[in-house]
Amino acid sequence: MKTFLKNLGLFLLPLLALMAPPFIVLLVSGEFIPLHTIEELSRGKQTILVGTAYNDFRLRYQLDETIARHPEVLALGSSRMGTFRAAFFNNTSVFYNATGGNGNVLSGYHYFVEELSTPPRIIIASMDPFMFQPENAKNRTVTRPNPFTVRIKSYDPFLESFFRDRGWWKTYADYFAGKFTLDDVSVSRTTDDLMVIGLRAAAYGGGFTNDGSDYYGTFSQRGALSEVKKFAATITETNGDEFGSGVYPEAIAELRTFLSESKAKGITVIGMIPAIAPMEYERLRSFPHAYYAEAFRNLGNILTVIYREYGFDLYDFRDITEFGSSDAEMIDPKHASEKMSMRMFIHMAKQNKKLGAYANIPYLMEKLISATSTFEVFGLR
Amino acid sequence: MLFNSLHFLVFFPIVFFLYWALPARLRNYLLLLASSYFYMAFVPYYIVILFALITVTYLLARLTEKSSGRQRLFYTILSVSVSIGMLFVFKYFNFFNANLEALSSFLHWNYSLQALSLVLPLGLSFHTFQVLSYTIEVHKGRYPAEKKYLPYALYVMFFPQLVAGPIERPAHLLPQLKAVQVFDYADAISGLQLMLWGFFKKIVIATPLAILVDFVYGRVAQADSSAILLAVIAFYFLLYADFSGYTDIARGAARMFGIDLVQNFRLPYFSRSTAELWRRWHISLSSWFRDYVYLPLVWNTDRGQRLGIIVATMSTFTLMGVWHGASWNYIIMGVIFGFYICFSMVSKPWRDKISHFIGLNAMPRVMGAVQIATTFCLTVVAWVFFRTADLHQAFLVLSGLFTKWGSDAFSYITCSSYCSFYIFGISKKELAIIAVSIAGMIAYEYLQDAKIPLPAWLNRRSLRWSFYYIFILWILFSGYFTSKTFIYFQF
Repeated sequence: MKTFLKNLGLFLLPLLALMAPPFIVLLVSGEFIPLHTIEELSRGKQTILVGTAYNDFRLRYQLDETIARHPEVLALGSSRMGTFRAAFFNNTSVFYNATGGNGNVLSGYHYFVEELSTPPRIIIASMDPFMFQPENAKNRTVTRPNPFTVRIKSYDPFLESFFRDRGWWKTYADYFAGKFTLDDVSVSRTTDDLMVIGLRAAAYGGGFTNDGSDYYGTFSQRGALSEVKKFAATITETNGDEFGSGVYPEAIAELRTFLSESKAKGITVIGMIPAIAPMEYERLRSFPHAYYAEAFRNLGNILTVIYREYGFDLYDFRDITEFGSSDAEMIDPKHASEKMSMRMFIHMAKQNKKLGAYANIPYLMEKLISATSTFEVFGLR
Repeated sequence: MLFNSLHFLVFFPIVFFLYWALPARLRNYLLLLASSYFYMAFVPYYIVILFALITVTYLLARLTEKSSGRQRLFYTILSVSVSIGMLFVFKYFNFFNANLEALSSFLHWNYSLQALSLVLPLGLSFHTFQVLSYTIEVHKGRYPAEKKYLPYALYVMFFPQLVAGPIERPAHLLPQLKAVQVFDYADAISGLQLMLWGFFKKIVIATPLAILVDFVYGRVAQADSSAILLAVIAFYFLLYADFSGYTDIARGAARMFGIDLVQNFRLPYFSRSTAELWRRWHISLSSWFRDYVYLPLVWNTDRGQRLGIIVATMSTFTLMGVWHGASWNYIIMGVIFGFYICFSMVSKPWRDKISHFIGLNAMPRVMGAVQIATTFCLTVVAWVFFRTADLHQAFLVLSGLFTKWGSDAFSYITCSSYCSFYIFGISKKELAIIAVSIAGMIAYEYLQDAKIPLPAWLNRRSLRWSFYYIFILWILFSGYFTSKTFIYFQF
């Protein structure tokens, strides 16, 4: 037995030495904090910023949170709606942002709603063009039965962060790539008012907060405009990125199911096609004979007609310059900043009385005008 | 508690070290305590049911041994009824009830009985069969009834094999549990190796393959034939890697306590017939059915004549299907395997003639390859019924295998990694890693089975350890670490 223990110890020593540094980094940065603890914290008074680097529990988390909070207004969709904030509303507790995790009409908006015992009064749903692109969407068909009841049963933060997707190894890789420093981990950003959880949040202040919305932290200051420019240049006559050769019928069928089920439950759905970086938008328009041109031109009309059938509104924000925004307000080529999101929100709140009842538009306008930051109006509070 | 969980990673070393640190007389108490804890990690209060089953069958076995004639038969039947009855209530009642209700409605009878809302205790089919084996062996006088409660309770509850076998026989396991175990360095090392091998199969092969299979099976209507073909083949490898991986961990863990559990798999992919497959696949279950169902049926029906063998084979495999679960899918899977074996037996003369005519029997290697390939394909088809949720989906998969060969079949081979992700739920790189791992698994197990000795220079510690480190890193880099349970836990 002694020989066995000695040899086992010797054998395990290099492995433990290899695993110990990333383990300590992830432990100290809060990557192993159980999901239920994060859920409890997010409903407390303290502001939290959760930005885990090597695991993704948002689908499960957002569903749990939506069920627990019973928001009156719910944002559902892709990460492009991530910067819609509770601060846009008169009463911050009425809103929850469940975007990013369940980011596709095809992955089951209606399944998400079916899980809610108390449905929201309003759902703001993003209708991104990629959701309707046949070449992309046909391979993303929703897995039945309800993905929320089969895909997200258990979550082990240690297993998910450390081993799944090789988090222990990526910790080394990211450290040597300069993505974080030991100071980021050892000197906590946590204060009396703010609790920072996860390596991403510790390193550059990115993550989601109590209302479910996203913060990009210092990432948004890393030359977003040049990235937008570079990305716009990749669009050609044969590459429309997320606009395809038509509109995928199954995505439309899923959308109809979502709209009809929502209507039956008394939910008002407000659809929005998210903003495209103006440089990208101009580039797409410059190829009128591209294979994707028809889908690019017609998507808004097709979706508007469907929304009207159910008595709902759809807002097309693809040309965001119409709403006073510019490339500078993009976080990156795909994502709108809080400031740009607020412009979209104000427009919808002005047009839609039900949504407008939750917001003080003159106050929001004033905040927008007086904001000095390119990206933020309220910031992390 | 799952083997592939952090919980087990902490639990097992504690039990292992305590076991060998304790005086021999206390070790079985520790194992029983640990087994109870292991079982209670799933549904705590079901431990009561398990102990009730153990206690009743233990007492009845004692009574059986002391009695003779009709009384002996009575105690045995009572014990079997208690075991099967428990299994029926938890596993089959609702299925039986639903089918009876459907039949009554068809015949316009008035029948209505409330369905039971019960969660199936984990591994119930496994420990029930282990208990039945003990009861029958005692009845037949082939094994004496246990005087002490502790070894018998441990025989049923020994945690490495508690929830998914292998199904042990009393003559193999009980004497080991009663013996004083002495720590054996070689056993401990080979136990660790076997556990590591099992983790490799589960984490590197079974779990990512489950993503692929779930993805395609979840969208059969949209998937083309090539994707379905890949998914049904993948399921065979998944099932093997998952179940044999579990068994390897179980056998390895038991070996570290000085206990040898029976081998449950022996290179099933190399089977030349379905009959041979079942001598290589889930051996502890198939041999259980052979000894307690098939052979008694053969000798009690037609004294070993062809019709008797066919009836016995079909009945045995149908029951094996039923053992797997309360669903028509499993029953049909059993019937299909039974049919394969009967058809193989009946058609042997003319198949021999055909091979002779085309000269195949003169080329034994080619003949072997053809037989292995045929058995593989037939098995893949039967497993479709194992995987699918209902018969409708099974037929959808089987028809999809043949009817959707479009012009862009296999387009996922030439398309980007991103596209593969949306066809199979995993990337092409991950598919390649799985393929290499499967090839490695088959090659290693073949070499093990063939007992080909390693050259002496390979046995040097530095080389061995280097190999282990590379292997562990392979698991860490290519494995899928999720809390996904083992497939056979549901039985």
